[in-house]
Amino acid sequence: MTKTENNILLFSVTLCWSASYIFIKSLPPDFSPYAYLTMTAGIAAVILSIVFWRQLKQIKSSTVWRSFILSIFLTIDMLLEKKGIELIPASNASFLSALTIMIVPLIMLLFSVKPSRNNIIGACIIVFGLGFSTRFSPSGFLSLGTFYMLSASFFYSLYIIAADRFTKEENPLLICVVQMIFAALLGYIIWSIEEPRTFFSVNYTHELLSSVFILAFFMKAYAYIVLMFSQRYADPIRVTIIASTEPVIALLLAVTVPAVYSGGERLTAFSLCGSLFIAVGAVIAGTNFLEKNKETANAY
Amino acid sequence: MRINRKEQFFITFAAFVALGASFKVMVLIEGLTEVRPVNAIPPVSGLICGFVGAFACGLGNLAADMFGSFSAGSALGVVANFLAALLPYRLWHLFSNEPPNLHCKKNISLFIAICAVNALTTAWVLSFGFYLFFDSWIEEIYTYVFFNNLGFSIGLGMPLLILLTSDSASIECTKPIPNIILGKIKAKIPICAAYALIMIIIFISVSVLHLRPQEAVWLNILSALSLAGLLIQTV
Repeated sequence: MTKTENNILLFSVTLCWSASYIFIKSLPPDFSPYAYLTMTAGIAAVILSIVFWRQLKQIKSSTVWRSFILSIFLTIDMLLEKKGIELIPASNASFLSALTIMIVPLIMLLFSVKPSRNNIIGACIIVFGLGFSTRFSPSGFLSLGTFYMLSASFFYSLYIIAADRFTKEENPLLICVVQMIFAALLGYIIWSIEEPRTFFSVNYTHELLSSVFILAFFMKAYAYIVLMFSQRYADPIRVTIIASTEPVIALLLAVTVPAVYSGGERLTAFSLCGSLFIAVGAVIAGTNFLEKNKETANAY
Repeated sequence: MRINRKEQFFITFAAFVALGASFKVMVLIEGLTEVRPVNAIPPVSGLICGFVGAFACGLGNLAADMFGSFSAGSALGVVANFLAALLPYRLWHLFSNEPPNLHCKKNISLFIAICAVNALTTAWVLSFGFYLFFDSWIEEIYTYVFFNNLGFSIGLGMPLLILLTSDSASIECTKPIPNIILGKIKAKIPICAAYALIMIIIFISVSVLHLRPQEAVWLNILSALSLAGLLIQTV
């Protein structure tokens, strides 16, 4: 797979995650996030098991163990994010959750992988753009909510780095399928603690089922298969750089999608400037023109 | 990986029905069209499965219509989706000697150009088809179908094709069947360019100048020429 092809795949994952807000917004307000995790991951697991049933015979104990670790990281990320969002403003929460782009290179230093100059400068510009577009406010920054959100970003960074290692050693398709099964099981366990009636407590409507199916198909099955697949050929820093363009794509969607489907938003100077910074930062971080020795830069 | 014709048909058909039916709630024009990520499937299935993929898309669209928008107009949907898969297959093999893949920038550009012509064609077939057979001209159909097709076939279709043609999946594409007319005469570039130009003129007339075929009769003449061009390219 060429670098261009891999970048297209990663952008399509970002597109799916950016578009997911349209369907998440259409879920009922009392719909538990654990019900959401159980249903979407469960449906995705079923779809992927049907599509890749031939490959399922190749599952090894190491695949199961590694997929379990990945699903644990993702579930902890989700739990912490939920706690954080409850305690701090949404704008600050979305800014803090995007700090993965800084945390991933920092963790990578522990593995003696230095980011390139382009990576560092690009990431700083992206963070500035994120702060601008989300209108990050420093008031009340030192709070428990911030701690939860930063911890969530830390676990998501661990997920990206672990996925990078595991997909290079295992079949990414199998990692994804087993990970979805564990995510659904973990979601179901937490959901049953929160609401013992679980599936019987949900008011099923055509719209709800449709949104859950769409989210399961695109946000889970498609996005995670493509992500696992791309991580085999890309380094974690590149993955987070492309993922950081999510606000840019979300802005484009918010402007172009009809208002009836949660779109039709007006373009503000803040969001436009922030998006421009993010786009410029992503280009700088994704290239290597600041490197004297291009071969070193390509190593990342 | 080699997939036989039956598998090609059923995989495409099932994917089309599942995706088409689940988006029936996101209506853009009541009973006629909705937000359609399923439009990513026809170019990819056409390129990979050829005629089998085209039949699966046409019939898959008909089956998906049963979940909410089934009408006499569904017949046009069958034709439009059949062509939306067949035209990319034909155009790719007219302009490239390689099996469909996006491994180089030239192929990516070719795929995007094919998707653009394909989106213009599908929008034209549906909007002018409704005008011709049901005496109803709805400009929004043209615009929505065009953007639905272009956006999803590039935004989702391109990564899907990359995945399917990657080293890990490496699905074997159907071998091209020679084009009856363009295979014999050496005029593929002028004919395809003229067809694309007519499609662009129709797009500007309908979406930008808001002309209607009832008033601008020349649009009907262009449509007749387009039909001839489409037949030459696909037969």
